Amino acid sequence: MNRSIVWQVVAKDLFFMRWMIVGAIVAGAGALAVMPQGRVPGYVGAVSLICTLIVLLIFLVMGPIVQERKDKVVLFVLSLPISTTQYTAAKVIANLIAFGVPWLALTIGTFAVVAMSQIPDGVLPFWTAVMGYMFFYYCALLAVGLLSDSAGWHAASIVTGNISVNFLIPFLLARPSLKGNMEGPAAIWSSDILAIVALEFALGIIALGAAFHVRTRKPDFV
Amino acid sequence: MSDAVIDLDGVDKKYRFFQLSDVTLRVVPGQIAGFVGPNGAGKSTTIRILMGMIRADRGSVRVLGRSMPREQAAAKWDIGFVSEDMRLHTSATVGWHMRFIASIYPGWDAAYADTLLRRFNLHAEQPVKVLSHGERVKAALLLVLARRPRLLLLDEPTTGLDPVARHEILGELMEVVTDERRAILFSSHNTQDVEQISDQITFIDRGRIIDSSDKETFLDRWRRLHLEVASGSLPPTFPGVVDTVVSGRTAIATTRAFTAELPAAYQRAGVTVRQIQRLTLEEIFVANVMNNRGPQ
Amino acid sequence: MHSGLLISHADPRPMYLQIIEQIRHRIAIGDWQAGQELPSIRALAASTQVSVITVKRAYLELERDGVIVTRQGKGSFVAEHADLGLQLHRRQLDQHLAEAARLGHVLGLATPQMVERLEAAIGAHQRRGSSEEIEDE
Repeated sequence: MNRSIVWQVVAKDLFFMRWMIVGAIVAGAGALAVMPQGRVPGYVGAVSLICTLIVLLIFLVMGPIVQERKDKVVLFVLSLPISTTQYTAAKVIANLIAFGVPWLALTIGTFAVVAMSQIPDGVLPFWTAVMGYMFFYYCALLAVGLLSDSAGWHAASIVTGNISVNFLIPFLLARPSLKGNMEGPAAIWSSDILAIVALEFALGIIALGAAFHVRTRKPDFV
Repeated sequence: MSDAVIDLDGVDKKYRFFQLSDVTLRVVPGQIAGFVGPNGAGKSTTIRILMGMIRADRGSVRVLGRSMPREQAAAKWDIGFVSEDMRLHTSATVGWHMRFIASIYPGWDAAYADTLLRRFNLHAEQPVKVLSHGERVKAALLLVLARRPRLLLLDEPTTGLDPVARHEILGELMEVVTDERRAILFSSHNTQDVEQISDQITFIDRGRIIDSSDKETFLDRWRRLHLEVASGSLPPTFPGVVDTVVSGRTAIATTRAFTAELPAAYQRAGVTVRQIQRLTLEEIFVANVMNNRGPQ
Repeated sequence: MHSGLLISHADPRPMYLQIIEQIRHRIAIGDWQAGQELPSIRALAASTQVSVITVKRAYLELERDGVIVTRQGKGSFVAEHADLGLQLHRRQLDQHLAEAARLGHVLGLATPQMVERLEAAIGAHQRRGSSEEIEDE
């Protein structure tokens, strides 16, 4: 089995996604720069950062994953000495890196901004749960993109993902450990917040793993 | 048996509205095999099965001695695949694709690649998205030709190409088999190209192989006989005659099993043979398909 | 060596016959000398853009008619007495003409009438275009 072909395809994909990665980091950095400058800028910065990640995940899934299949570029890549399973693995790995790097950079960036500015540390557990949810949303959309060619399902998933953020936020704010402590100077890492974050990661990985499993079991790749 | 580059045996594949049934196909080194059928007959499906992109429901699929789709990654080191619906990365250039393929395949011949660039009238700096359909196909063919794979699997390689481009492509394909270890399977509904360069021709219609033979045998065995019968009578039908059209005292019989005996047999039955015509591969193709489909 | 052979698709005659005819012609006029090596089957196929199997068939028939000789592993060469094949055809033609003359005599046809019939036969043969002479195997 030739492992290096997988990495060559990963490198190729990252090359084509480079502007999305850079663009997301730059836009996110802009949002981070705005955040510490007051209450309203804080909201604006936070919302912009979330939107940046949502736009990134949509482009990452709809382009290199879905469009490559629809445009039949997949036939070109499959003509290489690569199995269909290796192809799916390469696509997923490259896509995870392309999302993961900006996501991680911006999460760490937020922590740094909060630590260094007058933004209360109490906001961090809330923010971590929101970022964890972004990871879950990305994994779920990637799972849908791997399995479905239907524009209907893609659109439904995106709309559901976006709207669900609107339910996530009040839900998080209602958590007893966050209620009232958001403006506080200390970050309260309660067990239910940690459980929520762990659940977000777990569900994301399970959804992605299941989609990968189903995709590679399909006898007809094209 | 073991030296076949392509060995399909009894392959079945069922879809909701279409089915491949009992597809058996064998190609040996040094051969150009033409695969002809109407649209939707199953040519692309068969080639995708050969590439391991689709798994057959039944039957054995061996390409370059490897079982597909299980050993597809290994087999594809030595296979060059181009299909008419395949696309290259639109955000890259022709040159980028050449460097990419060269970085993967050790057999890449850079000098030959440059020759092909000139011959196909392409430029390395051309972005793929500005290429016309024909240029895209030529670019994809360049990418497979320049690494000199043992087997070329081409799904409609000349469809949509202008005559000059077709001439260039056919020339390069013929060059491939000057090496008798290499082979080509190409599907087409352009019977002219198939007739010109194929050694072996296989007809497929509605998911079934309806005929398979070498080119010279096809061209030798199919004939159209222009007959004259006595008023009111019908010409007899001899074995191998697939179709007889009668209008008045004139009849035209199409046979797939012509021998020198046949006109003599007609003469003995009192039928005058006015003319014997060969058929082009296109005419053979249409007659074969019509005969296979039966009365509609 | 560039063969200089060209297959025409407008020509109704089969491709293998065109090859045979052009090779015979080159030998007959001395372009290809006795003992000269012919292009390999695959090389000729590539240069004329015609199936290998078609060239193989042409070479086999030329060999059968004694126009070329194929030495296993070495290639094909113009036969020492290549015009022998043409001589055979000439002899056949003379035999047919002799028989035609005899039949004409039996039917009581005069020479101009015989010539007329011969010209009609030539005309019909040319007109048929895609027709094929049945080869007596």
